[in-house]
Amino acid sequence: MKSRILLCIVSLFLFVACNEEEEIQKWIQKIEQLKLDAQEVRNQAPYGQKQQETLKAYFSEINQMVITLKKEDKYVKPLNSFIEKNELATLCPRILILKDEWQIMMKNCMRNRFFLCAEEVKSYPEILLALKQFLNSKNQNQFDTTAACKDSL
Amino acid sequence: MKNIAILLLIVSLKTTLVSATPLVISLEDVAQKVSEQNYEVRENAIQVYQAKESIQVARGNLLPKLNFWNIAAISFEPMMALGMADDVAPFLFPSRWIQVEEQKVMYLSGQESYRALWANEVLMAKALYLNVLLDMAILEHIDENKRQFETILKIAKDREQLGGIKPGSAREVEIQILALEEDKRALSVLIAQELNSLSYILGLPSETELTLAPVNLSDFETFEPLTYSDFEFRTLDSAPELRQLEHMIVASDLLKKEVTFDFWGLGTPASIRIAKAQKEALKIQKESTREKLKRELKFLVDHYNLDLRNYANSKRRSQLTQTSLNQQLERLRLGGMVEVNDLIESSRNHIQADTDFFRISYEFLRSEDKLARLIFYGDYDKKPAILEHLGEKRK
Repeated sequence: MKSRILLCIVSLFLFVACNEEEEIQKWIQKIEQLKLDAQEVRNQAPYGQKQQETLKAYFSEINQMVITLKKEDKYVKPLNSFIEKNELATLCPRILILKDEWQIMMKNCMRNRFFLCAEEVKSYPEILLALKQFLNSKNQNQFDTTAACKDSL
Repeated sequence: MKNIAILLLIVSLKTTLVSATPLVISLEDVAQKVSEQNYEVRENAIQVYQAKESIQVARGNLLPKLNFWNIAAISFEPMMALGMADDVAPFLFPSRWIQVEEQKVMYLSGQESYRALWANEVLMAKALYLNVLLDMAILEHIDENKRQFETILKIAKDREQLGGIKPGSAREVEIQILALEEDKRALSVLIAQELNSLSYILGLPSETELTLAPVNLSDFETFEPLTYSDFEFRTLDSAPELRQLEHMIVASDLLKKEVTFDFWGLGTPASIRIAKAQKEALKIQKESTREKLKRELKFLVDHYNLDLRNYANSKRRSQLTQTSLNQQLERLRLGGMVEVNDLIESSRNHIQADTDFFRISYEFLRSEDKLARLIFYGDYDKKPAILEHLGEKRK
């Protein structure tokens, strides 16, 4: 009886942890798609409504992920496990836009002395730095030594 | 002895209090000063709006009556007198939300209210700053004009004595000079009043002697005209007036749920209808606010582009009229034949051209700042201190 109760508790724990990993998996997939959309519109200047919304969708999704990690630390450990399983060298190119590309977008967002894109576009470097804070030391080191990751900052 | 010491202390304190404290501020300081003020938003907002109204009235009354306007045959531009900002779009004045409540949605709605109010205050403070600089430029121009007329007066008197010009010409010039002196006095008083209002808005003590740093009226000729579609996204994306309504629509859904599942098990149909009607009203208000913002954007973009087109023309006009006047004065100095009336006419043309040029420059800066306010860029990007204060209260 006791072992059955223990088994139930462990299963429940595993189920909850799996649930968070599943959510992270979905996040990554969503961000990956949004990144591709953003890269597609990158050079379609001057940006109209469609391009602006596409850019905002990508950058605000990353921003939202950071906000969630900040508010609910139950995602931090599963995120780090996910990264360790999937390697940053493959993850970063899937979800992060390189700094060069971002600078092109920033240039296309300027008109005379005005910045016309969503605020999240401008805040990308800060958002990435904030995201990096949630990585454990091992993943942070890997981030700093992987070109596809560090070239996004 | 003790009494003398106390008396000396009182006198020195009084002197300290009464004497003006000089302070130089720049346009960049204005936004920071408005942000840093630790005030009850509502009280300060009333002060700011009152200051705006009184200055609008003062400029509207004075400027068209200046003799300078008639002498230079400048047509009165309403924008010069009424260049203060109105609110960009209607927003719910945060009188009821000043007590931060536990409900997250109401808190978020309140944040947007404060953000709108703060941004409008910054906009008005900067508009007043630019108005003061423009009026100072006009004052300087009146002074320059007066000096030119004094030169012409001297020449006219000499020529009258020698019979070179018709009698009474010198008197005409002297009348112009006297009229300009009156204008100088009136404009100086207006500028002092405006500086006083500005220091009030910035929360500075009344003894402060404000000196405004000049702004960079950089060459706008390289700027491209703007298009409405470039700005529409960010205008609607960042508008606190819209976000506030979005939060309230969410809140009305919560209210409807609360009414539907109230303590007795079922809300009354009437209460549910009221809650539903409130949501519909908010949706309509949101749509109308979107339209108001879009119209405001169109107006500002058109105005910006107009000033941009006129800038190059007015700069050229100012240069040409200056050249023309200089040539005539030079001819006069060298003893050449120049009609005094032609000289007065040249002087007038130059005043008009110059006044138009710097009026357009300052209006361009104001249009640019209004657009920045609309899209929450530049100075409006900063987080108002009051929101941090709200956050502290909520904890």
